[in-house]
Amino acid sequence: MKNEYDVVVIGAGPAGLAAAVAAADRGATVCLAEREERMGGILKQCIHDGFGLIRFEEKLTGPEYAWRYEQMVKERKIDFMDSTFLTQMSKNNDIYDLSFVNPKLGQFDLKSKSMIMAMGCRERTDRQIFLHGERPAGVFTAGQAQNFINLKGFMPGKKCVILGSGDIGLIMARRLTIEGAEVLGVYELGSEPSGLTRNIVQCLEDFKIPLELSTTVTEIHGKDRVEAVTVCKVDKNRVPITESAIKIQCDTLILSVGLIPENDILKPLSIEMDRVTRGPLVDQNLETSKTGLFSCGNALHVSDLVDYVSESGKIAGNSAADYLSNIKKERSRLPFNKKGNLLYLVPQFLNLPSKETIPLFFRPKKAVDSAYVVVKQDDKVILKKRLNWLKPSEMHRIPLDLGLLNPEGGSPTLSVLSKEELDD
Amino acid sequence: MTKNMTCIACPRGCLLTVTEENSNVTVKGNQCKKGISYGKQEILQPLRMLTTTVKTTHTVYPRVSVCLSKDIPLEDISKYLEVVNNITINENCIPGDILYKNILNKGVDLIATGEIKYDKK
Repeated sequence: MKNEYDVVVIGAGPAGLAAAVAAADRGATVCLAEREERMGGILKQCIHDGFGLIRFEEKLTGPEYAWRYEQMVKERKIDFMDSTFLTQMSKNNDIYDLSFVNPKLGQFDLKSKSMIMAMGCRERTDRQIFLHGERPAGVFTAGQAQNFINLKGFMPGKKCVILGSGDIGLIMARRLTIEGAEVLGVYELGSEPSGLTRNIVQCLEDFKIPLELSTTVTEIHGKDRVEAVTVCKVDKNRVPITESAIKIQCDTLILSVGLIPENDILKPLSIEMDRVTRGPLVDQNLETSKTGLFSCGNALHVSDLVDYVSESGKIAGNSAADYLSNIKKERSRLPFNKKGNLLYLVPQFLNLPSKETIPLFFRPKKAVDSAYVVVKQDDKVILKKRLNWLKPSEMHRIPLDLGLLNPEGGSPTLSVLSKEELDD
Repeated sequence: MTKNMTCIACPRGCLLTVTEENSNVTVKGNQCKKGISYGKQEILQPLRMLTTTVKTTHTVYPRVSVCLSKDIPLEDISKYLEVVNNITINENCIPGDILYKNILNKGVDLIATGEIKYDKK
């Protein structure tokens, strides 16, 4: 282990692994720090398949996908620190000063020329969706339940209710059923399921698990252990309709109610953040408002495919390695504006001139059958593409050739428009 | 017989209309070739990949993740689980290793998807 690295990567999940590999391949000295004992992040417990169709053109399980990247890290002899937690970070004279803690070394410091932040995301808990009251045993987030079953071999309960139709919730509905528990139903506050369609089919329909939309859990009953939950229909403003309340006897409530990028460590650095994605504002190189500090994976914005997470890790790794040769270079940060049916767009800034073709990631605000994605700069159409079946639960990726943009021109805008809006 | 279904061959999730008439299957609504084979199979006999875990004797990692060497009929999942749930691993394995051969004499193997490494004695 060295005292100073070119690149330190925080988090050895799919984003951090891809970032470490990419930075090492461009000749940087890399240190990869992970708070758990093993590499792989959440993939270790995602034993279902469907990972890697884009990245490896194969259908892999989570542990297999992680294992492939783990081998790449080992082949490159990248310094890996397990059970290691980053406690403090500051930037002084173009160098990042880092404080870590781990069981072998206790508290220790490292220096790095650049940083790749790949901390991933956290699950929203019962408190964060205002389910207050007693704290009986038997309330789990879907990821916790998945960890218990798949890694530790414990069942969280026998009669389960699932709140939220996020992908992990749907996958846990199937997993609990396969392991012998009874899943009484999946309840979703929104009027649309929030997980991928294939998970609705494979995880619920296959096992005849009911899915109730526009419904939520309003109360958890029981003092030592969950005994029942009250579920309630909600109106179109998502206000519970009290007359529709029914009490369901169960011993376990599993929550799959959203993911929040984990960026707390960035707070002291006053990095500009996106209020919607809850990740930093970045340019196409995934560089944040702090030069030399890059963000990728679910810490940047929550993705629904691991392949996209690895892709952003690779971009961050390449960018961090390239940054080393022009630390003092002036950077342009041209805002990338958004218009129309668009919830968020990553990257939020463009650093021009550039000849690269970059992936744009976005989600629409509302579901539509078809829409036009238009990129315009100074009234000139740079890109126009028709997309079908847009929904907020499925992220879209489109490539953009930055060579088509005028580096001296104004801020480009990406719009997601209906046919009628396009004609106006 | 006509069935509406969502293709799950890829994350796109095309809405398919599959019709079976005199053992002739037609698929509509697919945006790629995968949709045709998925729709045909789904109306004749739905196949699924089973992924689960098996016990290990390892003191830190008590479970290792597994999958099958090929997709199995949806209706047979519980029969396969009965066999898989009685297997215990007590030696090293890496993803791709065969942990159990020819489950239920159906030519389907149990494959490790995770790694288990015992400390050398």
